[in-house]
Amino acid sequence: MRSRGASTIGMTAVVVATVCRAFAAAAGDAPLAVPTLDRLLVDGRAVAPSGKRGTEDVYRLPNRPKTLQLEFGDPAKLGRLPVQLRYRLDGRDADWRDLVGLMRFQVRFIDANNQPVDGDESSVEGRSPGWTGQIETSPFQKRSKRITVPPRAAKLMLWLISAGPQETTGVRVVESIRISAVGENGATPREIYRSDFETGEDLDNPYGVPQGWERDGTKPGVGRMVRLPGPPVQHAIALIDEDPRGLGGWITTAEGSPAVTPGEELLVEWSELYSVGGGGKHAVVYDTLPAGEYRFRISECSLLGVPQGPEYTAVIEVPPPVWARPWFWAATAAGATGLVALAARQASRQRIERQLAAAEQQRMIAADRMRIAQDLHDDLGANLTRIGMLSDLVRNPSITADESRRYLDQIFENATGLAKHLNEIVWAISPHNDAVEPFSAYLCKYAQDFLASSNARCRIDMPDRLPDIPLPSNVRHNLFLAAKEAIHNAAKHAHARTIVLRLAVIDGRLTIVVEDDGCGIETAVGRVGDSGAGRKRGKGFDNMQSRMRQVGGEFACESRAGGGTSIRLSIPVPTA
Amino acid sequence: MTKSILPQPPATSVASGMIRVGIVDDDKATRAALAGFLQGDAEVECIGAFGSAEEALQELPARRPDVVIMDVNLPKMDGVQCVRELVAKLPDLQVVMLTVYDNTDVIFQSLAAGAKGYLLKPIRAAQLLAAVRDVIGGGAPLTSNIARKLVQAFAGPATHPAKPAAREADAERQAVEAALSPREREVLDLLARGYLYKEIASHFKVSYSTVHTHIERIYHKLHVRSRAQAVAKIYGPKN
Repeated sequence: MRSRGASTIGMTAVVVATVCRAFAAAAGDAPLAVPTLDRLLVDGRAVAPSGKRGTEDVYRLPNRPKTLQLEFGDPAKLGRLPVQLRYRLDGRDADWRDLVGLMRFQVRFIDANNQPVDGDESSVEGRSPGWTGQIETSPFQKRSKRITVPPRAAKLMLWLISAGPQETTGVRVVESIRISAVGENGATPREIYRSDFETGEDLDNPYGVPQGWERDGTKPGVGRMVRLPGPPVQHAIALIDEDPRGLGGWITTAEGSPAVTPGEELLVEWSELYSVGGGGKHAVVYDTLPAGEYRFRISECSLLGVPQGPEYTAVIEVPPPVWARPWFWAATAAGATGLVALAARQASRQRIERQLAAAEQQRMIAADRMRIAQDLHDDLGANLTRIGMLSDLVRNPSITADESRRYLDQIFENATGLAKHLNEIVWAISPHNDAVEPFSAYLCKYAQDFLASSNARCRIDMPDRLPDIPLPSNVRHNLFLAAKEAIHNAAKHAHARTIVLRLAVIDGRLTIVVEDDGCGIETAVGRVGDSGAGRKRGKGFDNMQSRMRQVGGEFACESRAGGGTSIRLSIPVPTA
Repeated sequence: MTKSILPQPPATSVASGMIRVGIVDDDKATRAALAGFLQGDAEVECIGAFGSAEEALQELPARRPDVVIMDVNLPKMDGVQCVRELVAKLPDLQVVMLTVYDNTDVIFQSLAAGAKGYLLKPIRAAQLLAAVRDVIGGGAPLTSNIARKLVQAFAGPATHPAKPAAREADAERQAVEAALSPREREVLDLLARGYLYKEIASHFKVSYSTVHTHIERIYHKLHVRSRAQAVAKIYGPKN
């Protein structure tokens, strides 16, 4: 510990104050401007202050930043060079942080040709333990380091420099350096170098020169002599770098550099104190700050790290994430409720639709069955009744042989008719026939059967093999009836000689064409005096049209070149 | 082709003028009615009426029938199978199927099994007798949908039967037998297109009986083909 004498304090204070005042003088008579936050960037985008709370700038951030960059200390904005700056973000930093500054102490080995061989370095930053803010009151720290002399090394140079970064500002004071060669196995160390900085020129002068040392760096003024008040008065070399723009220091001269032997192990011991920081333009980055209110404080310090001047504080408000804000929760809850309600409604609507569709399907099947049952009931009922009654009629003794033959024929016809109807029903309800091939075979058989008893010739134009495509029952039913109507129409009203039934599956459509070489449409419909047939024909067309529409198909009829009519029925079918 | 493959008309009963007809139907009243119909024709003789396929297979062969009227629906063995077995025993037998249900598939199967025609119940005496005469003459009329099925059946290649001991020559012969001649194909095609026998006759400028002969041959080949397929099913494909 240093003894405090008023004179020593005064002396040191003079040294320091001179420096500071010179600095201040350079800035003019205006009071020192306070370094402020030059720029605040949220995720790379600059954000302007939202307002002021008293003297503090308030920054209300738009969102929680991934990176928050704070720029300050720009000499251009400040109008001068801040000597040392430190900062802290209250809410994140536990203590003041100095801008990075390093001062290096290098041990450099050179060979016989003054070429560098290898080196070692130790650097200091921040403040030495016990730093009081004043050189004269802060304790010196004893430090040491072991180095092995590399091969080819002939000499050793010592280099004390106020870098690290050029922006480094601060103070480093070394009062003594000693280097000894450590022998093997506990042999007494041999001192090869020692400097207490007590010899040289003009040592009381800051710009004096200790023996064996010279100044170095872009700003030689950084290297100073410091007189430490005693008793006893001591001298030390120092680096006093108040300018972030330059660097300087001390280096041993050629004569002052001790000779070394390769392979020897050296012990370097020195005693120092320091206060190292940085000044100048700086940017500090904080990652992922949680929501909350922060205070960013900038404090300017003297060379010795003593805060001076007012602090600058900026309030930084980091908003909570979207999901943490109350209105968000309210909106989300409302939204979620809405979504759930919507989904439920949709699900229930879909269910209802499905049920409706299923019910419709069931209804259609039931209607179909009803129709068939009704048909059968009517037909069966009628025919059986007739058979019954006719057979009774036959027994009547008063009827003639002709009459009885006629009755018996009728009985037979009723029976055959009934059998035929039964076959039709079996065909209609058999799911095996719900396909294009069985349908086509049935249709062509029907056509031939029907036309066999008419005057017209029957011709069938169908591919040998039709694709295996399903036809729903009701489609099959309506399609058959429409085709049947077309065939009847051709036979009865068109007075055709040849009727052609064409059937094919082309381009995803099942197409049935009934062509005749009869009298054509216009003549039949528009014939004067034959409006009955025309009307019937027209009605037949209407029936076919409505049947086809019922199953999502198309009906078309046109006159053929060369006379006759062509009726086209088509429905879309799934591809095979 | 060398040898005629056309089945020879039976030498016995036609020469004596009487067509020998058997009846197989599980309904007693129907059997009686059919027998009654046959009785009404001087040239036709009913040689037996049986209620089941088993009975028919047992009794009929000894009675040398020319024609058998076979109901499709029989109690145990069905009519189609009965035809198959009966024709195997009596290769020259003409069979006419009798059925209520106008099911193209079943009818086609019976034709493939060896039947030559079919009738839909209820039938009149005249229809039955006409069918008997038709079939003796060479096949009952082929409707267009049956013809269509025949075209489809003949579309694929004939299956080679793979009986282990079969001779190469036999297999070859069967293959040839099962393929339609060009004229037969034409006839079948016209039938599928709705041409009537008489229209086909005038189209090719041949006689009605020539058309019948073609139909007969077509049936025969269908029969051969289906026999081969049945054998192939038992013995597996030839490798």
